[in-house]
Amino acid sequence: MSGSVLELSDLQKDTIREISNIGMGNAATSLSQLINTRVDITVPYVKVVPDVEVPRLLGGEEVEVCAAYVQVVGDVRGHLVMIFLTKDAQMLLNQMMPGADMDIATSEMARSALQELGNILASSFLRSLADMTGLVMHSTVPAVAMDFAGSIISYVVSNMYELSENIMIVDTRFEVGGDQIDGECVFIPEPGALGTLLETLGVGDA
Amino acid sequence: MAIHRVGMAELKIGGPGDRLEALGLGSCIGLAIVDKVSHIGGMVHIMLPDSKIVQGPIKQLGKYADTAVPELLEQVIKAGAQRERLVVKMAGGAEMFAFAGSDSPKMAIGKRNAEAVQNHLREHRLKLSGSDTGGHKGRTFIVSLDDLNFMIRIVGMGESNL
Repeated sequence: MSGSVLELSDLQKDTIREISNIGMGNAATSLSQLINTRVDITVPYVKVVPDVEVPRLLGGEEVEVCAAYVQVVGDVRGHLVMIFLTKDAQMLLNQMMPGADMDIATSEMARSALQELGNILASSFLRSLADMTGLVMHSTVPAVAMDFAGSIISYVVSNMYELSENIMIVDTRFEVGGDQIDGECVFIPEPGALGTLLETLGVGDA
Repeated sequence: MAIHRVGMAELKIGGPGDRLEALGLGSCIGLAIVDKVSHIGGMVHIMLPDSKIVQGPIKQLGKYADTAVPELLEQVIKAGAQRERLVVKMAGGAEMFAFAGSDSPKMAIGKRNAEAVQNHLREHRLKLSGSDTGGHKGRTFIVSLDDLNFMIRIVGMGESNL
């Protein structure tokens, strides 16, 4: 296991992209119902990345973001991180609860709302994945942070690079209300769990 | 004057007037070794505590604490720094999220990184003169070889000198 290198065929990548597309579509629908605004997603981007490329998501290492992070537990272990630019997360929260004190930097309620947002996105994504595969997947209670994008992503993946020289990420962009608000959702199955997922989907050794 | 961006697992050497930057460190460690007289210095962006997990040759020496410390020392000396004039400082090693189990020995990668770097510095008889590690906030670490300023930037807390 240690020091191993992950390789995926085009068929395997396509399969992961397709189930992620359905899952993220459901997550977007849930978000849309919550804020009563149209939410679009891009086609998920499936990529196998070596360690040095990982933090270059969402415009660079030092971009200030709000993130909700959950661990995926059950038959498939992994990580889900939802990231919004801090200013975009602020707009989103204002839309969620107009009139309330939702200042991300100071309000406890804003933090709870972010947590809830993460919870809704993660659970609708995982529910559709579970429905499609018959595998059991749960999410832990979301942890929330406001910080540099690079710090957050590198922290999430560091533990996995002790197991494998590269990892697979599924990166999906959200657009809320036209293109006013940009968000990103990153799904990273643990190297071992990816095999389980692929086998269940019938492309284990494609 | 050149700006050297030190990405994950990278190691960069700079001369007088240059800048060494590790942006958005989370659980990783930015380690800087600088000659306070000649202003020659280097920085490495360490991801993991131990290279023993790797089978076969190690491609990126900067990635692991045990290989990064001797490699950085060797490279700054080779660039002209003198051992008795070295200043050693580090930043990073945070746990970005607090959740159940995040402080367990297996998970607490930031803490393990910081401890590993300290151990290997001691092994190579290098004295740490400044360190900002741990906690739950990310850090940017910038070393200016011009005035030997070691700067830390943290979201919501601004900049401070190490």
